[in-house]
Amino acid sequence: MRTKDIVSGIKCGLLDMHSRLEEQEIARRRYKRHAAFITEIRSKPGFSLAVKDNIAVKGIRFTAGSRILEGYVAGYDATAVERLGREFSIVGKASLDPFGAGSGGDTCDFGRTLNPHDIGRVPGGSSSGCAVAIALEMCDFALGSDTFGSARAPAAFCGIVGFRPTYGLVSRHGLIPLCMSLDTVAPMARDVWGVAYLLSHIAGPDKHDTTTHAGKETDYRSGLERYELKGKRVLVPQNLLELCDSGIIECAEKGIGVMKDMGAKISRMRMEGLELSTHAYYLAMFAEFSSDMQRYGSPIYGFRGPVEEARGRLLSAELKRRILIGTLITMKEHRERWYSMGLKGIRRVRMLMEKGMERFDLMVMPSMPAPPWKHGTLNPVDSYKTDLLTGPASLAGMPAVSIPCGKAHGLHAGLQIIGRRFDDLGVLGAAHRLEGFL
Amino acid sequence: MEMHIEKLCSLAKLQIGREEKEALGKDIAEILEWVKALERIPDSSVARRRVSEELRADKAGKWRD
Repeated sequence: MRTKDIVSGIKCGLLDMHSRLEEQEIARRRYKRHAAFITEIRSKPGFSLAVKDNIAVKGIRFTAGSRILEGYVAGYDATAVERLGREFSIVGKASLDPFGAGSGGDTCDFGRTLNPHDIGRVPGGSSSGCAVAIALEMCDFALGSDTFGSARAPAAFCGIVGFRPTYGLVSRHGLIPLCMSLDTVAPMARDVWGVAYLLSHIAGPDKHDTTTHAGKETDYRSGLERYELKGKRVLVPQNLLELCDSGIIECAEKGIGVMKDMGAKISRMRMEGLELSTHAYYLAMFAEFSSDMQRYGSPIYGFRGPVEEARGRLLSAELKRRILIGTLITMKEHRERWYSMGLKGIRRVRMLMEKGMERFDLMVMPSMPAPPWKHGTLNPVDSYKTDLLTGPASLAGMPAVSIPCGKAHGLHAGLQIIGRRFDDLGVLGAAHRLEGFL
Repeated sequence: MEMHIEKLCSLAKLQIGREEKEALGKDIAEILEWVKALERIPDSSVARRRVSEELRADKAGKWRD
């Protein structure tokens, strides 16, 4: 059932809320083994919502997927949660790679989250619990986060829609940072309409987050139907597309073909340098992350005794890797070589994206370069490389959505549509036009 | 890297065993080797010129589907 029908059905009293709650309860029990939720919350009437466990919900355990915050309880609601109001009922705090640090989505300290379509493979991360809960109909909507693809990757792997808004459109107040200069709160749903519905509630300036701006729209749903692809100029970064798995390229070409059939003008360009966005991101993120992580270990988060021992015991290997590299590259003797190089790389990628998009309305490419991989098969570097396609939009602060676009080797694939900053409606409009045809 | 790891763990307030330190040291060396590729990223003037060339080629219809 489409999100729009669920929302209008419940609002008009056509759908019985109690039977919906029962269905969701059954789904939650049945699929508990997928470990989509860290904390389950008793359902109340309203549209069911999963909230990634790095977003604060007052009075609820707030772990960020890491044992280091196991006993911590949020003292306030994140702005995005507060804005959703009573119309939405939170049914679970969703799993994630600890602190959002992962691309596979299967390294949560409280249980391995499984891909709903093939439990031997990763669900994509880090907003894995959100995507799995939507795919398994445990909830209608989810609030995830997206720093470098954390909503788009699991959306692609689980066959749902994940959206990264323009940086600054949605408040990050109450979101535990991974890399605060790139973090966004990301709406996720079964379809584009659902994402637009959530975005309409949560977008806009917030006095608690000074990076926020007013968007061009207030209601992202109403613009969806009016949007036309005819005459829109669409850029395909050919050098990135060529780095993808053959099945993924096939799925993306199908989507590009549909756009062309709808009257979009497709251009293919080589954008040399975009393939290095992952390298630039990881250097900057290591530095920001290690600095931010220094706070965990203090009594405020419930620690007693030696901080070093607790951090050594409770942080995952990936977190330790990131903290150590971040510490190394920000040391006085290494800063110029590594950290400055990362920042320079980000500026180059941003320039490439902005210059490239000067004459285009949209950019299109796959969401992920390969289908979901088997659990535990990628080393750290290979796992970082999978962020190849979600990175450029993140570094440029541009809005980007991942929509399902068929299957590669029998596994879900996603098509990514990117737009200019604050043209969030254009991105969602194009995705809405396409989603029924892929 | 071993010397670095000892110093890094102390700076980062991480108490970890020798085996884990060795494994992390190996990973860190591999990751730093990988990010070195960033040295290849074109200078801003070169990058801008290349994109402009591509845009001109597109305007001439070379890259259009």
